Amino acid sequence: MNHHAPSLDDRFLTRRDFLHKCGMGMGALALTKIMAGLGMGEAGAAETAAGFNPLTPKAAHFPAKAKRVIHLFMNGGPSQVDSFDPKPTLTKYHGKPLPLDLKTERKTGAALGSPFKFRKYGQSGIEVSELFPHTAQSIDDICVIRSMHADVPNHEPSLLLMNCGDARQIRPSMGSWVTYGLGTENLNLPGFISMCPGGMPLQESQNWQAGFLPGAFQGTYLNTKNTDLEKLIENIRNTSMSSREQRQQLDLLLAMNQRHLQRRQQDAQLEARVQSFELAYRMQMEADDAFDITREPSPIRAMYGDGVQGRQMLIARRLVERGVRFVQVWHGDGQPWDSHDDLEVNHRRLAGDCDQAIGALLRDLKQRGLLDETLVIWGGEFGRTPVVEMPTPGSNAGKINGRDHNHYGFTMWLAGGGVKGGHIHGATDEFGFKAVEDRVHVHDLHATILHLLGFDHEKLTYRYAGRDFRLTDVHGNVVREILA
Amino acid sequence: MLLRRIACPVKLIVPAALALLALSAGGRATGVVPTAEQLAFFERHVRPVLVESCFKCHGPEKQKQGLRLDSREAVQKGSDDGPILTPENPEASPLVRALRREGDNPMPPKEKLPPGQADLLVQWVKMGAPYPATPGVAQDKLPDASKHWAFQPVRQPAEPTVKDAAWVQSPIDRFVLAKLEGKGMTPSPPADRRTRLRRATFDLTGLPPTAAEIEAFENDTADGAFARVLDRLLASPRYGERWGRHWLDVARYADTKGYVFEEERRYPYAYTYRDWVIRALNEDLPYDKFLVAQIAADQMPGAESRDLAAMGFLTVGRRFLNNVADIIDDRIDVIARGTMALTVACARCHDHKYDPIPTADYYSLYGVFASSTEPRDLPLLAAPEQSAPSQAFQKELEARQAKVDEFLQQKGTGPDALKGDDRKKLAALRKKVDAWQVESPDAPPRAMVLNDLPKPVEPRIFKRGKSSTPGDAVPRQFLQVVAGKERRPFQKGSGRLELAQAIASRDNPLTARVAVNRVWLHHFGAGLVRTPGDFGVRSDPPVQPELLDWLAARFVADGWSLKKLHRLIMLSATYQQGSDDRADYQRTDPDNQLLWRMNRQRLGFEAMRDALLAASGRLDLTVGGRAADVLSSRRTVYASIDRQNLPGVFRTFDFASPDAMTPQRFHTVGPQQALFMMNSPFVATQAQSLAALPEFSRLTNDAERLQFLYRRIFARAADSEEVRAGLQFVAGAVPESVEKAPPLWQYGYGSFDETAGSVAFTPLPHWTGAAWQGGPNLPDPKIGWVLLKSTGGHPGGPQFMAIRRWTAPRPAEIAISGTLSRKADVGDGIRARVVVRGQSVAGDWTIERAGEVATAVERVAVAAGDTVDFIVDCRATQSSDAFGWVPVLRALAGDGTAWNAQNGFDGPPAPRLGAWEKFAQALLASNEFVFVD
Repeated sequence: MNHHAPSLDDRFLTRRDFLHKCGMGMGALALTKIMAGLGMGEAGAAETAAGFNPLTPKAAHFPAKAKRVIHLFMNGGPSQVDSFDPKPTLTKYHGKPLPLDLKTERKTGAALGSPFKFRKYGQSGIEVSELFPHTAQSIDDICVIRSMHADVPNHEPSLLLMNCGDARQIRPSMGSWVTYGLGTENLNLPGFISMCPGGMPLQESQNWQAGFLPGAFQGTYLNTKNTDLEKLIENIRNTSMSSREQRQQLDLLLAMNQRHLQRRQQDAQLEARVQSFELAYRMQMEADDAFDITREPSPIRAMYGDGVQGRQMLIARRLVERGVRFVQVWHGDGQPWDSHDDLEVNHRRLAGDCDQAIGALLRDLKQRGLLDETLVIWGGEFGRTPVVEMPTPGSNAGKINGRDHNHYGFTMWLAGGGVKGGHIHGATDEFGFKAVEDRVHVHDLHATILHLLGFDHEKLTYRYAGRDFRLTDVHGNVVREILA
Repeated sequence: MLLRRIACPVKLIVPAALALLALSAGGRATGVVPTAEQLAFFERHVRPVLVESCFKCHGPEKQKQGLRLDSREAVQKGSDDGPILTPENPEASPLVRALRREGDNPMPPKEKLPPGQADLLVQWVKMGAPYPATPGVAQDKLPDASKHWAFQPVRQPAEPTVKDAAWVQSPIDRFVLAKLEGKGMTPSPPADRRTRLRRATFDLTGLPPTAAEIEAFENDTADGAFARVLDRLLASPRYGERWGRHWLDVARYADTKGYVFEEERRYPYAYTYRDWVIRALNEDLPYDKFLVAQIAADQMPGAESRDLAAMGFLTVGRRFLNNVADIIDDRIDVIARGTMALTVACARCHDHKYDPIPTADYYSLYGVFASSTEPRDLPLLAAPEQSAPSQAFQKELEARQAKVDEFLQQKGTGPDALKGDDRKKLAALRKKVDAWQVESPDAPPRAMVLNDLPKPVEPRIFKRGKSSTPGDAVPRQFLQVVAGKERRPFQKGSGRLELAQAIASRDNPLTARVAVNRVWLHHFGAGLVRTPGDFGVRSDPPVQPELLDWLAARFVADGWSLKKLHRLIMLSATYQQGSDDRADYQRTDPDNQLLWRMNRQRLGFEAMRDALLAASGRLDLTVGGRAADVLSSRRTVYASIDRQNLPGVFRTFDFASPDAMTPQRFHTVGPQQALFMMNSPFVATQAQSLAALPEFSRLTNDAERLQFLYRRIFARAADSEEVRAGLQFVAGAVPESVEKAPPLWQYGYGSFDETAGSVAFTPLPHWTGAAWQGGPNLPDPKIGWVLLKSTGGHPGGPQFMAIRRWTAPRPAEIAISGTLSRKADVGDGIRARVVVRGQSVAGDWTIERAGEVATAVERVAVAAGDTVDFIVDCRATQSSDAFGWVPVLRALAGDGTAWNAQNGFDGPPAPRLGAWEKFAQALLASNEFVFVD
């Protein structure tokens, strides 16, 4: 396995770096002290053992601004013409057929002008609809890509394409690739976390799968409806004894393992497992702290709002602040943004749920100096048609006031992490149907995200089943125009 | 050391360009010879653009303006208007101007290329438009495989002579020792008897030896003691469970289909394949027959009906939303990589870039599986018994099937013609048929077979893997690289049997080599070939090629007997070496390729979990049958594997991916593994069970107790230092009392007296891993059918209502929602009530037969510690009263916190542990317990 490759062991950090970057304080140092006391020598312990934890931090191909990612996934497909891609011409055509012939997934009819008002925000004067007034406050930090396109107008393949770069087959997700490439900066927390309140999106855990990468790179799913830590992370709490008792027990374990190790010439794989218990001990406390938003001052909590969206965005910030590499925040289970009917009511409700929290997240990251090194991604798996969806028994309620799926053109935005703020890239046609200028395919977006994190997307590969796989497969071009 | 390398998987950063350089250095036609770099540039940046954006109008099908761009000659020739390239002035060439949209002919006409792509094309023109001589990656450029070691016939190499002949216990040792002596090295001394027995027992059965077994072996000084041990272990039914699981890694086994829309997600009969594998290995079914049965048991001469279950090998894969091409791809991959370590699936879209596998060969195999079909009614493995439960099962099954038939009849159309709501309705009805087969314990076992279509499909190549672009027809036949010049199209039906026989042939150079390498891998922790899933030209040649061949030849000569192969390997001095490190050898051969010692190995997930259960005395050795919950006490090989949402514990411990053939597992170390050992109820329960063993509790002094635990867990006595440290720990480890909030959810039974306003609640005593109930068996002799699971349950008799209790963690105003359902259309129905503080009824619903009702309660105020009981009773009679009910409580103010009964459902929390239990848990978590020297 992986036998051809040059060893990357040299990319692992020195012991001091390791202890520092892993956010390990007393516990781990105490551990190395114990080991030194037992004749192990100070060196060695963390250094060699670190090699066995696949999440140990690693360097990217080249220096980059973005260190971490927060992916806000508006699953179901938010409408571009109602949010970040204003189309006055569409409004003019309202109720009339469009002079376009694009095949939609279901039957669609005449133009449906946006019921939402747009206005300009910030220095850049980028127009944002009334759905996202809080987010719009940060528009000068946001790069709006109005020319996204995907392959098909169906949720399942589009979700997999957006997350894993392939619509059907088993492939690692973007978060898995990123943690594979970079490890994580805080070994006391999972490196890749996917939060979704109430259940899972369509395609479920395939959206954050590790595919053929080791299971350690799989996203850890958290149902953020839950507020109990033990429901969020498996086995994070010990109900068998007090923490003082547990420390005693771990000291006994450590002493036994130490004797065992000494008789076996300090075998590094044995050492790695010894150390994993100390990491786990610390993870219990770190997780308690990371997920407990009641530790935030009340103005901060008020800024995010007290709904589930506010809670999960605030958790997202607390996680990246602690060095978690990749955080996905899904809007909700199923496909909440999928407004086939009652678009106006539903989009207003959905944006109302999350806009304040997203705006707060952007401002909060910025005020803490975290936005520069955190890449925030917003978008769905595709967008929605500018034309109205016609009644189809079994697939909509037939109200003729919603929009169908649209993979021809849609909007996503990026903020922080080395992208140009206050910038618009690309354009759809005058109706907002199809991306026509500076088109950005999902593969291009992936290539760009990896670039922002310091990777040549063609070189971040993994040999599996006789082939070197990558997130972008054989596709993808970095969208250089949006790099700051 | 290999394990170390596996543990650091981030190492395969091979520039794609290198790979392209290798393959594009083919010949060319005229003019200047393009350099390898130029061709690499073409393959990487130019060809994809031409394919995607140009060939539609300027390719094999259409040639607008007489222009083709799909060969070097055509590009040089230009269009009807003349040349498109002007080498003396590339900037002015028509092609560049068209791409830049200058002039009358902007290309592509409708939408311009992304700027990056257009620039790269211009750059290519400036290079002189280097183009490989033949279109595509043509056959003549495939690497010359004639010399690749794995494609050569297996030879029977002569056994080398060695200096230290006294060390040799098996011909294997001659090969190993000769290589070592060649480097001036010596093998390691043999491991002691305890270590050898522990190693052999884990290797063959996946379980630890008992102290008594170790002592017996230590005292058996007669000749052949180790051979007798091996015979005992190979005869154990535990052998098939251990090695069956190794094969299930290859077979990407799971109990579910993966993501589905409307159909039943669980396979009702996947377990029959798992059980067949285990039995076949226990019976030492010759490996060639083992393979043939899994591919073509339906046609295999001499197969018994029970062997039909073997075909689960093909059918238990992921279902990709029923996309046929993807399902067939999965089957081709599992066969080709699983049996021959050939990455045939790489040739789905283009000829294999490295191995001599043209796309045509992929579609030759594709045709075999496109000509095979899964019957809707799977065959029974044996005639069903005529018992009452079995008849009851059959009756209900027929009733559910009748609804499907009735619906189709009513619609007067075939199932494929239905649309919209009708299609959904049909899917829902069919799902009920399938669900009944999954859920009823009385469903007789069936085989997940394939059968041939009456008329086989004549396959065509799908260009670039797309069925929308069919290419040349190809015959159904075996792979050229193995079959050679003698290759003939398959003659019988789909050709599946011929395919199976060609794979399992003694003339196939790959199959036996791959098999012995896999067995070697599981004994030594590393294969002789270090890429067990890829024997292609990019794999490293083995350091011991002669040994590999000798083993393969011997394996075939021994009638493909795996048990003989284990014996052969394990009786060697090589296998019996100690695992101690040797610093000088560690420097010269860190990966131990020369086998100068045995590799120290950590137990994989199954062996670790099974060893925990064995130590605690809870291990349930029931063989076979439907999948069990991973929290149960059955062997891990029987744990249910949901490939869509694999439980975290599997992933944490590097379980094989159930999505594709896993040649070798990862060995990672991370804190979540440690959290499982420290905090999971599972491990705490094992520690508690150990201390509850009668042999332990009747001991009267601490030294004896300590020795008992050492003997039970490590199968040895504690030394004086261990006794001292252990007793010191136990003396100081008195549990502290800790205040605990009442659990959010509790599961019990009892009754409700509405007039008195009192609920009698008794916790259900038994946790199965998925449900709370009265005892291990249903009905429980005392309380009958009472059962609660995450999505519903079953009440007992009138005084044994099922009660799900929620306790408010804080004061709140709450609303309750949920749906109560009952499926069976017989009996007198059920009644459900929501009772607050044991007194007031907040909701009361009855379902008389089958049906469902919304169980909404608008507003209830609770104080911290108040109970809300969800009580279901059977009305007068308790037959067929299984119900579904997932109440959700939602706080009306604040952040809208919701408490969902399904999400909150859980087994018992980890028990509080006493001093000895904590001590036992530490022993179970130790490195000594989970590593094998």
